[in-house]
Amino acid sequence: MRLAWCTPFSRHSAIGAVSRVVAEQLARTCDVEVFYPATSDPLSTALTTHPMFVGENATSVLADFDLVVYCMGNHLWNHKSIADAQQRVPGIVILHDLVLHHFFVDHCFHSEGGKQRYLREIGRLYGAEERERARVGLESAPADRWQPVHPELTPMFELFIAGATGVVTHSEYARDRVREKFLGPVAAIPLPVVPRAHRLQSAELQDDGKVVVSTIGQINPNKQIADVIEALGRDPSLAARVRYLVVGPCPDAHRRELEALVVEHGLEDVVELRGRVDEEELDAVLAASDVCVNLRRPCIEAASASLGEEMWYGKPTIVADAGCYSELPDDAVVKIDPDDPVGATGLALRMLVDDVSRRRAVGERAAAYARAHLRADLYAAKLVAFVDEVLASRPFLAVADALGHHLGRLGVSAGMPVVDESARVAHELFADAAPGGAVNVHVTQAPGV
Amino acid sequence: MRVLVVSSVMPFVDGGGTLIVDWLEEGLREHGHQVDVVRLPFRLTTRGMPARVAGMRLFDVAEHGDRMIAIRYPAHVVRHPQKVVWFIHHHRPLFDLWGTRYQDVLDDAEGRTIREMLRCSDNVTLAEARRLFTNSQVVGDRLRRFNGLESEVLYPPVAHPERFRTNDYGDFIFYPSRVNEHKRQSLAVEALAHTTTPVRLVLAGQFDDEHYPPFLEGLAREAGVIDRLTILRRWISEEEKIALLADCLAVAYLPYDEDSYGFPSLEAHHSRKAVITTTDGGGTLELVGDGVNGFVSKPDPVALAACFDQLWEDRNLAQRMGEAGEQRVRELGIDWSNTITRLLA
Amino acid sequence: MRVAVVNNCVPFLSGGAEHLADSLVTQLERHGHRAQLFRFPFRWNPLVKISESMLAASMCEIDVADRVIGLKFPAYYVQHDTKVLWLLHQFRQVYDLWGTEQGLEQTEEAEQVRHSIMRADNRCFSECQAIYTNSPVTRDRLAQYNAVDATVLWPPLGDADSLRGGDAGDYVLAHGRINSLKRQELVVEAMRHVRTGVRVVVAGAPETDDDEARLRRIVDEHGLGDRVELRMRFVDEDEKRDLLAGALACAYVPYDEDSYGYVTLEAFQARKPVVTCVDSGGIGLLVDHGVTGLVADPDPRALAAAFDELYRRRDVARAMGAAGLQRVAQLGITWDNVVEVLTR
Repeated sequence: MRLAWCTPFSRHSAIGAVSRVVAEQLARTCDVEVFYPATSDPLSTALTTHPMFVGENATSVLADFDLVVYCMGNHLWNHKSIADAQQRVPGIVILHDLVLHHFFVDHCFHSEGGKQRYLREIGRLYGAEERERARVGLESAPADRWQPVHPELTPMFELFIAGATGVVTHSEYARDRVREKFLGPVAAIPLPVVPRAHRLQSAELQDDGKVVVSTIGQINPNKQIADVIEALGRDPSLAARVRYLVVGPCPDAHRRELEALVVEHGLEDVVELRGRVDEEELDAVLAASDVCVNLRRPCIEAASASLGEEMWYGKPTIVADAGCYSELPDDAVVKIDPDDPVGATGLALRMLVDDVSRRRAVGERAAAYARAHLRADLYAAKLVAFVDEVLASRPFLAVADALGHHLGRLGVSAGMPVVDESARVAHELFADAAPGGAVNVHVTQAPGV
Repeated sequence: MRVLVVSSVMPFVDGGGTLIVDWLEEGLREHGHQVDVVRLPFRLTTRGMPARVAGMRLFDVAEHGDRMIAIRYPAHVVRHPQKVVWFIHHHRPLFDLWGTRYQDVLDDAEGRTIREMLRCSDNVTLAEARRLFTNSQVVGDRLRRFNGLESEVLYPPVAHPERFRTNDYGDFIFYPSRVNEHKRQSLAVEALAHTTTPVRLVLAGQFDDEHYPPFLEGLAREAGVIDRLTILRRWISEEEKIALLADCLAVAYLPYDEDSYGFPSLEAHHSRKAVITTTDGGGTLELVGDGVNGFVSKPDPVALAACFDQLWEDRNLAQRMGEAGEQRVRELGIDWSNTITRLLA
Repeated sequence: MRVAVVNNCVPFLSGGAEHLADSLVTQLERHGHRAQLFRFPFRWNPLVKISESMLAASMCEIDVADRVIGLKFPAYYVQHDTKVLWLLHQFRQVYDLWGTEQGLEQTEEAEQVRHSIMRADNRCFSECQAIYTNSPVTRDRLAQYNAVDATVLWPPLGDADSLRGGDAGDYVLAHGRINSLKRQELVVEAMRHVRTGVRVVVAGAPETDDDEARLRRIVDEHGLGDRVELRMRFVDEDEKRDLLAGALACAYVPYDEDSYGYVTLEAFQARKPVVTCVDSGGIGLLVDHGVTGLVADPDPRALAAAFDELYRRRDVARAMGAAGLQRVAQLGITWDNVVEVLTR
């Protein structure tokens, strides 16, 4: 099978890194060619690669493949040409992020008439109330950036899977949310870990007998660093035995809040806000960590790449018992009650700091789990199996598309009885050919009508 | 009775399959029925076919006619409270031709789904019919095998069989049919090469491939029997065909695994001529009994040549077999009166 | 050229449009093309069936044809790159008849269907290579409702050669399909008011049982049995030819017809004058009052007067019939022209 793999194949994209190893695994069973946004600085690979542009030119090339896969994420410039091609040539969409509101708001910010389109789509997908909220939000937005108001309630992934022949998510949680909005096949395949290029070494961290706790990644308020600091502040005897390293880029405003909190609790010697670091230092921090904290609130991720990595390297990690994190085995992470983040984080840290054998056991289970499940070869194998499911559903979608296409050309609007009636006819003819293979007809609004 | 006939047509493609619709229309009229024939265009490529089948079902003629007779795939998907289906064949590339070079989608999850969808739509819509007929036992067996459906065989007659006559049992074997690889006129030419009598061979019919007649002539020339081979490369009229049938010694009809006995066989018997066919002929075997109303030969030139020679040497045998053929057609009830009575019962 | 002609169809019903479609195919073949006619079943009741019929037609593919000629709604939605329309009708029930008794009943669903048809028509018309109509009325309607600039292509009579003149008898012939739009009841009612010995023969298949019952009721109620002959059934070509040959005149009084109608052409081909009404629409092109026929008010008394006049002045009637045939020739209503234009 000839498969086009559209991805941000950039040195600066985590999605790019994962998708390279997956594509290379897929290449063992399919003819894979990689398409990457022309603006990115591509990773090296033995696979055939093609730069792609926004607009028609990629369309005819992609349409020639047996199957096109689109890796979709939140970064506007990494994914703009991918999202554009997806609208033109239907294929499988891999949702690296479930919430794509950031992509969409950035996209609208940068396009003419974007504000109207942004509000119109919010209104269409989520109703007048969210639209109004978004409108108010835009009014107070800074001149250089718009921010989503309620991304957890308005994820906007719906826009990027419309017309897809199948959707891949990275957790059951995300899969279930997509299924509420998408009638075709949806898979949940765990996101693989890309083993680090550098050798992990625990250098440059003075061994002072303290337990090293870390949080690694983009540092935003939803990562709940404040709750961890608060927990440490409430329990001085715990704080005395811990070094807490917070590593990753952090917006200035949030950084100032966290610094004030550290000072307020007198934790200057315990908490280190390191900010953005290079890969080598990141390796070192990860290697030196005894415990990781990887919280989210709200918890709307499809999956966490950083958590996968922490588990891969055998770190006992504290996570919220919510969303995709709940799906992990109870003995491979330490789950806390998301509604009592400070209290529960404190208790979990206390337990892991005090109980060395427990700490080690959780870490070992984490590593075993990650190495058994979070692998690129498994991901590729499951994707290939899913492709079969997608191929099997494609003739059903083709019927629905054809009906929708013609109804659209005929000026039929969504509520007219012929829409249901034509779906009923198709269902009556074909439903028995596949269990649950209902034909759902959506009127395609043909351009120019 | 008001009878609505619904059929599909591949636009601008002539084929034997549409003749039966014309003849049925004429037959129904002659039997005093009011007839309307709706011919709907249909493209037979497999990809995209489920949508086209759904489109065809959206045509609504349910209010019209005391009966609807659906002929040719996929006319049977059209809805009617008094639907009668005369099933000529499946969408063959997905069923009986699956796995042959005629299969036109990949044997992958998508191709298999298309096959299942069309199997399902056949099951659903054939089950709606008040009567389900096939044109042969072969097709009836396929319906049982692919769809688990029982059907009745209703052999299609030719139009106005009284046109055919018997004049002589002459010195030539006549093969009137479309000329193509599947009909294996080449086998007849090769057989000619092995004959020991001066028997001749006359081929007539539409050529699907312009390179085929020179190829056949080449075969005959190589075997030194070109003088005993006549290929009528021009269009011959019905009257001319009837005359050749009236004069010939016997008729050869040698297709590979045909769905039904084929009109050439029937026309031969109406002209009281024996039919020579082969053991792998498929539907022809439903009509021809070996040594009774013709020969069922092994599909090889030597065996066929022996049949040709035997008939040439024994004209009485040729006549007896031809007469048995006429009797056989009568026994099977292959006439329009019977056909129409059964269709409208 | 391989030409597919697409028309709509109501099984077992055949009228002018069906006849024209058959003739077009015959004439295309006669002019050296390969032509095939496809009739797409059209059902309009209940309303959803209109949309279904549209959808079914739209999903048909005739891509092997070099040319598709669309005649009627909704058959003309069949998709093809080089489609031309020779439009006999739009779906008038949602255009000029909308809001009248003949239009769709104005419900919310009917509104939706109407808008869908208008959008679908506009799109279809914009994608066609050329649009011809069979009459100025249809052309003007297209301009009015769809802003389409169409050209009139007059439909000739399919089998002109088979029709002949003959000695005028005592009857006015009202032939053709019988339905409420054709208003045969005006002709029958007129017979209550005639003062001469003129008779009427109504010949044609009624569209519904009601259409038949309505005419029979008038005849029965007013005891017109001896002056009105109702042949309410399919009339074959031979019978029609004889009826035309022996007629005094023809009456053709539909309400606001798009075109001049086959009935009119047949009458003139048989050299008979035509009585029509002022509100009959396209028939006016061929029927000039006092020249090729008589144009009366849509009122039984006015029609009765017209019938009486023709009955009394047979020489004038004969002259008008001959003038009618000349008028057809003058307008160039010929198949050579039609085939050339549609395969251009």
